Amino acid sequence: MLSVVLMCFGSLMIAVTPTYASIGLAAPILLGVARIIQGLSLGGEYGTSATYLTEVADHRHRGFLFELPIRHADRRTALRHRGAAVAAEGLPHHRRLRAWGWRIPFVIGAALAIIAAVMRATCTRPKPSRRRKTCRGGSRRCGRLFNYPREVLLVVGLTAAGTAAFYTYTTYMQKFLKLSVGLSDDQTTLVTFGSLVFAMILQPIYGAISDRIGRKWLLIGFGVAVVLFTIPLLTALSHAKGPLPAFLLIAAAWMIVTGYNLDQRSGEGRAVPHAGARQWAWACPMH
Amino acid sequence: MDSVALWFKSIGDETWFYYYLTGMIAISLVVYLFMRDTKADSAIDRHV
Repeated sequence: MLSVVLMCFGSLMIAVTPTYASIGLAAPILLGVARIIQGLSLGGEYGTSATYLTEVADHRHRGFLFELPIRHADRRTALRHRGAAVAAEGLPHHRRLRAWGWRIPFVIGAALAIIAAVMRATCTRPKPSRRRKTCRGGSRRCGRLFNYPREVLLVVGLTAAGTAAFYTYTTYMQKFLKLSVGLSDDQTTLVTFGSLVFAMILQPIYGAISDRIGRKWLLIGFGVAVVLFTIPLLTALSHAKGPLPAFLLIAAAWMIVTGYNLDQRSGEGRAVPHAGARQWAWACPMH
Repeated sequence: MDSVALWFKSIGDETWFYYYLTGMIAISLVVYLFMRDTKADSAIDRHV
């Protein structure tokens, strides 16, 4: 619950922080503090939520339910930001709106945190296993990662690729489109927004596929495809002529990368034996 | 990733980032190949 409250506070703090022109150096300092609060709360909340989702989901639909667009915090955040920018572009006097439009997603985020707090208070909890008392390390609080060195290495290995690919096509892609492809600000915003929406549509579909064929084979498919196609895709993207070819190439990349985004989470959760360790494992590599 | 990519760009050869990314993913691919198939043997159901 504390993590949700901090998340709300951090978002609200960013939404109302005055500009540098108004309060000078205090503005970036306040923003920095707010981002630290957000980061800490996200780290605490994300692992817990991810663990909870996989534990309460029916094993036949675990991938599908886990991949509904209620998770992927970074992508949701990016989507909210791009969405606000796109919405601002469509309104009259959008140049003026851009001066404060970026605050809108943070207000929305703070409101959503309140909803999350209500959900947290009312959700059912899985019954703890009796094995918890006798798991490795002999302690009730044996969710410590050092009790599971092999599993920790497994999680690091699992997440290295996906994290690299994920951040390439989310946060870095905006810079890439602007600096390397040469799109304008508006085109960059539109293309990244569209590609993130496309990626979110793909998630539950891939989740359902993973429920049928298993996480391992989807991960292998992702790994092979990305090794083969990353260089050709990014090379073609750097020479894209306009926003539509750029969007299509990024969409093609998401059709490959989504194979990781959904499955490694479920895969690593299933590979790490103890709930406490699983929660740490989920939280650590990405955040 | 941004820092690595922008650094490669700053030294004038962005294509090295493509190879860096591919290399990272190739390492994980080795893990995927040797990991347990969780469809048949899931740890979640053993320890909740």
